[in-house]
Amino acid sequence: MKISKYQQAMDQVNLSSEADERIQAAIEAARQEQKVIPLHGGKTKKAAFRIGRAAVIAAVLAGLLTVTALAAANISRIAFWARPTQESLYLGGYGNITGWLDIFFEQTTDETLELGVWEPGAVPEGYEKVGTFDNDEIGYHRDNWGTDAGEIFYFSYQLSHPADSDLTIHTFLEPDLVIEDGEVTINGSPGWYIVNNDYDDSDIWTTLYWTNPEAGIGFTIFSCDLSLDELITIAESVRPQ
Amino acid sequence: MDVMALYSQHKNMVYRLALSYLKSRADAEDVTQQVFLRLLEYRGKITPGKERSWLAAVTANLCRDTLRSAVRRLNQPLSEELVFQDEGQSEVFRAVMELGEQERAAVYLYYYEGYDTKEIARILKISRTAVTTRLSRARQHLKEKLEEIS
Repeated sequence: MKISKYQQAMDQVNLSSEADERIQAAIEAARQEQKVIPLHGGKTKKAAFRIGRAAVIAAVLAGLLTVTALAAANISRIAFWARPTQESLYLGGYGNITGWLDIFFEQTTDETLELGVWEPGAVPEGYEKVGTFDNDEIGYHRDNWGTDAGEIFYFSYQLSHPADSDLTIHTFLEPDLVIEDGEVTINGSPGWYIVNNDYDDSDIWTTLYWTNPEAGIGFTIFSCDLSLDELITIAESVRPQ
Repeated sequence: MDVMALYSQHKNMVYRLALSYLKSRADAEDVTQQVFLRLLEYRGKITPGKERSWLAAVTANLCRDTLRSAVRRLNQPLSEELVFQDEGQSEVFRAVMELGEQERAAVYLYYYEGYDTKEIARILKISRTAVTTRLSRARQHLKEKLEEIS
């Protein structure tokens, strides 16, 4: 009963005729000139910021993996993947000096593998590759996918680890920022998702981590423009090229 | 893409969502204009049938930007009183507008626009769990407010 009252009230909330005329005139004028009108908090600015921030994170991550790889220099291109454990998920973060949330994937195999090239087959409409980053030394690759409207998602994959250590993914997240997280399965393989606030509360990010144990590859995909379901769809379409 | 046709069809949805966020007619009108100017600039392709939810998502983004603007005061009452056909409609509308802006937007999208929680999560860029939490909190707060009024 009360909901219908709300609906009836909202039916009566309309743009005033003066505002309607003014907005129509503005649209028509812009259409005639076909000029780009900068808007407060415009997507292009935010997209650039996001790329910059992600690049910093990726560079730091690559640096950390490099340090780990160099520590066992004689063993390269070995990947070990299995289920991330709840215990390890939080112990790493709380126990580390950084205080960040870390995800551990335990060892399974010890075969020497190659990174290869991986691409998603199902990408939301409007998205195209807008940037890449590689670290061949440690076996890491990232593609940035974006739209004209400034929406973006990041897809990365990596080999890792010396034979006697786990894969640690440093999320660079303080646990207080995490809104929701949990286990997922991507094409039958274990993974983990995290939904978190940004440090300045500007966006909500969803990140999906999963593995391909046979190939020995760990994947990450994250975005503040796509939902978890959309990221899962992209993840499930990833194939070697 | 015929922007004017889309404007005619969806202007009030955009305006109502913006008003739900911002509680100011002037700000909601500005956001409405910005949304359709952004549509004009957009070079990508919007899936046919998805224009409304695309516009809702852009509206929510711009409203969040406006709310974060340093010069704007938050949690202000609706700057101009709206007049409704009966007191019951007025009471319920006012009660909804007294909710937090996150709850107001979720209530509008769910109960007025009829979006499901998955689509609302996409529009507001939050998890589905967060959507159901906001709706649940909104229902509780509304129940308390409306009991208080009666």
